Amino acid sequence: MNAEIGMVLSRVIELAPGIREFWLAREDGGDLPAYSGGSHIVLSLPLPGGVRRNPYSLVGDPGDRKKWRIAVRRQEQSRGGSAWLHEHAREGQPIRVSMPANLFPMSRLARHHILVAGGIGVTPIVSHARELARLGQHFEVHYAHRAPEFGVLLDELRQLAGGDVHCYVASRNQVIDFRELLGGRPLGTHAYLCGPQGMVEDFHKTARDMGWPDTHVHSERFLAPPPGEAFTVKLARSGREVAVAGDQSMLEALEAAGTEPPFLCRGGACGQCETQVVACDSKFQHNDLFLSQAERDSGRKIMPCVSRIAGGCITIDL
Amino acid sequence: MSAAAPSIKSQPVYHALEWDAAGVRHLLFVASDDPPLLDRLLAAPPRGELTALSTDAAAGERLQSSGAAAHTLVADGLARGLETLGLLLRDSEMGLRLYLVGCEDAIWQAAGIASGYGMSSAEIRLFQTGTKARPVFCVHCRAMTRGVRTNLVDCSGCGRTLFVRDHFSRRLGAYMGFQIDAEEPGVKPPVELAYP
Amino acid sequence: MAIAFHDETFRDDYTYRNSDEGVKRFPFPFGQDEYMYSVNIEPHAGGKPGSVYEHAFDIDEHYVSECRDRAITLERDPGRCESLPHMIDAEWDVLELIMSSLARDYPDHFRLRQDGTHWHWTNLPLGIEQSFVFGDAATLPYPPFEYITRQTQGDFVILDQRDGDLWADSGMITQQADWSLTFDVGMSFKEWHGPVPRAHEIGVFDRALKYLLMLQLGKPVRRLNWTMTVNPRLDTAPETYPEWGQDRASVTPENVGKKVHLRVELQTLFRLPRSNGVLFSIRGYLASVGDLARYPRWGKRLHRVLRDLPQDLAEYKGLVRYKPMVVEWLSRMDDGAPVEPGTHPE
Repeated sequence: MNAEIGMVLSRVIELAPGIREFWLAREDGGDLPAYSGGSHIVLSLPLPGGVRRNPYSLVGDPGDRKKWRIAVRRQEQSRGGSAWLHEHAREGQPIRVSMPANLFPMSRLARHHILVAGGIGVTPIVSHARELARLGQHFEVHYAHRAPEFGVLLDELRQLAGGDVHCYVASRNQVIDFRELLGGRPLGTHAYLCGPQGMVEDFHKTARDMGWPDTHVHSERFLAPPPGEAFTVKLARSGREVAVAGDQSMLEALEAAGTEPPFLCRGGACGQCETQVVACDSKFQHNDLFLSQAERDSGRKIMPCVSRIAGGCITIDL
Repeated sequence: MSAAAPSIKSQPVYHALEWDAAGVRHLLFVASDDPPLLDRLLAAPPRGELTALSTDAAAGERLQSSGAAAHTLVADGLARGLETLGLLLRDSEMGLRLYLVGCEDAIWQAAGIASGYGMSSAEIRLFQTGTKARPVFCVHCRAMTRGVRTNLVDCSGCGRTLFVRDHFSRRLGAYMGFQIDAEEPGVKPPVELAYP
Repeated sequence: MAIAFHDETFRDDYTYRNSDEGVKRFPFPFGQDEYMYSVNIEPHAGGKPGSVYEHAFDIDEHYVSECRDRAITLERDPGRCESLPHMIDAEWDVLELIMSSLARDYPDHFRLRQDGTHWHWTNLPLGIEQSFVFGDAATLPYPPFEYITRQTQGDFVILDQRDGDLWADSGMITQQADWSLTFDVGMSFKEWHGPVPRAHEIGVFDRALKYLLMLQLGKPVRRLNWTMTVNPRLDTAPETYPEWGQDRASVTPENVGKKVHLRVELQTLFRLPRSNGVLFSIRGYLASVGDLARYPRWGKRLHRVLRDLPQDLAEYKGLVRYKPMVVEWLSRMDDGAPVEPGTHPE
């Protein structure tokens, strides 16, 4: 079970078309914990069809103990979370929020940091920039966005990076060339990217081709659980059966049924929700980033936050 | 503490040295000559530019005559070699892989320099060759006693007779030594050649 | 509720004693007749009132004397506290965690006033009043980690999380069970656990590391570890081994009950907010075998665990010289009757 804080949306700010910033304060007015750059929180969004839990990177200053800031882009194929935040969330709305967790931390031994943001991926990059500026470390920022008006938080970034922010505006045909970005860098340089899947893959592939070790290349991408066919989950220990709707993840269905499986990132990356499979009469759809191919082939493990089966019934050890 | 220590998980295990195909540039540092190893490596050099730095004259000649490296440097002794290594790393770029060949004292000192430039263990491969003599860190006075070939050694700092453990610190590049007769002063096991 | 602090020594004349309450709340670690390593981690989320588990950091009757003993050890050997340069954020995290916990849990003894980054700390038992700026090391008499751990019972290690591993990059180690901070600082999780026999082979450290990498803010965990010490001595470091090593041979059948102590570590682990590191607190408790044996459940259980302890574990824990005497002394009260599982004294 994950610790949750009773919070309230204290402010809603339109940053750009389809991009909103939200401020969260504790319901009881108390102090919030500090957090490390790159941390995210999970919001439990009270959708009419049931609670939807989505992770969002913390953008603001951890020294401000009275509020947390996040920025949310309305996803085109939204399963409801970002749409709800854009259409229904109002100042004063109570929301339960998890404690910060960090799956995208800075290296404390790096001699130089290259921060790269793609679109709304700028949110953890801002908090990295803020932390590096505070620590007096060397860093540079590269920010790719669709059009000038979508360069949200740019002023804040510029202020933190002492002006060293390079912008790549797609509508002007400006694109990041990863070969150029990563070439000629001294030993001890670390590179960090948060952005869409394609950009992250390109980043890792280029870095690898150029001989960068995985230890120095970091990325975070928020996978939304992909939809699929409806199926049934059987809980081996109690014998209970839980129905998973097409647009609902297995994790969400289990939570809606009153169980509390462990989770952390809810995006298939961290491994916390790894679940043992007892039996399955259908084809697995592994959508995660965590299991090895051998583990997937074994048919004995699944990551319920993002993975599914193609109809039928799966029995898990819960 | 016990003198009959079983093999300890902190002790480094050296795998057969191979070029790392993921690197685009390679730097080979040799502190002890190892003809079969060097011949094997140089017969099939890696993809990408290879630089070789040797503190051993014979190894240096071998490297030079093989022509496998784009640049070969020979330094006069370990201290000079480590200095030169530092300068090379200072000017090196991401994509480099570092290979350290020699006795443990030399290769771990070299690894320490590489860590200082932000290199991780993913970019460094170590191989122990030559003498198995150990650098020993005295836990009582913190002095380093180098070139230890026996199971017991008199500390160069405080003179206590130290038992040479298998517990190894990568940061210090040394094995731990503690006073062998602390429980029963004067009662010491026989000295044996352990690390020739 | 105020604690009555002792004035006692952990060296030389060894005037250390446990009150009756001190013995009763001792974290006896053996719930069964046989001992083997396990991960044995559980949530550190409170416990019975008055128990060592109740608060985040336990302060007891030995607090003032322990802090004094730490100061002596540091005076003789400043190398017992070390913190690698990149750990400064973690140091402040630890200072905040300990100060806020102590002020919350022991309001009779500790107070913390915070006005933005201007903090004022009051430590009544040690007579300390300190105003400082949180985040500005120049406003404290010692670096932040050293400053606060000089005022807390137990040893501390701060772990940096990187490259899928945990690294012991800071430590305040003045009451360790025989390992060297100077030697081990900067080691990874499995490296510093290197000398522990058997546990590696049964995968204890693989599982423990995986678990700790996922440790979450606000959800600390704990486990118990144990060894034995001759005399209630805190400074049993390898550095000072020549000073205490001979004590192991000073145990006689007559003094066993008074001299030999069970030394239990309550190990707690906290995720740290700004640094994303992990604080590893090693809170030591000492009780003489004689005091423990006043409770038959404990006497019998301790007898059986020690009697059947594998030789390599006994060697690793440094018990070999005097264990037979302890076993013989405890055997006299062991009628062989089954003792129910559990660690409670009565």
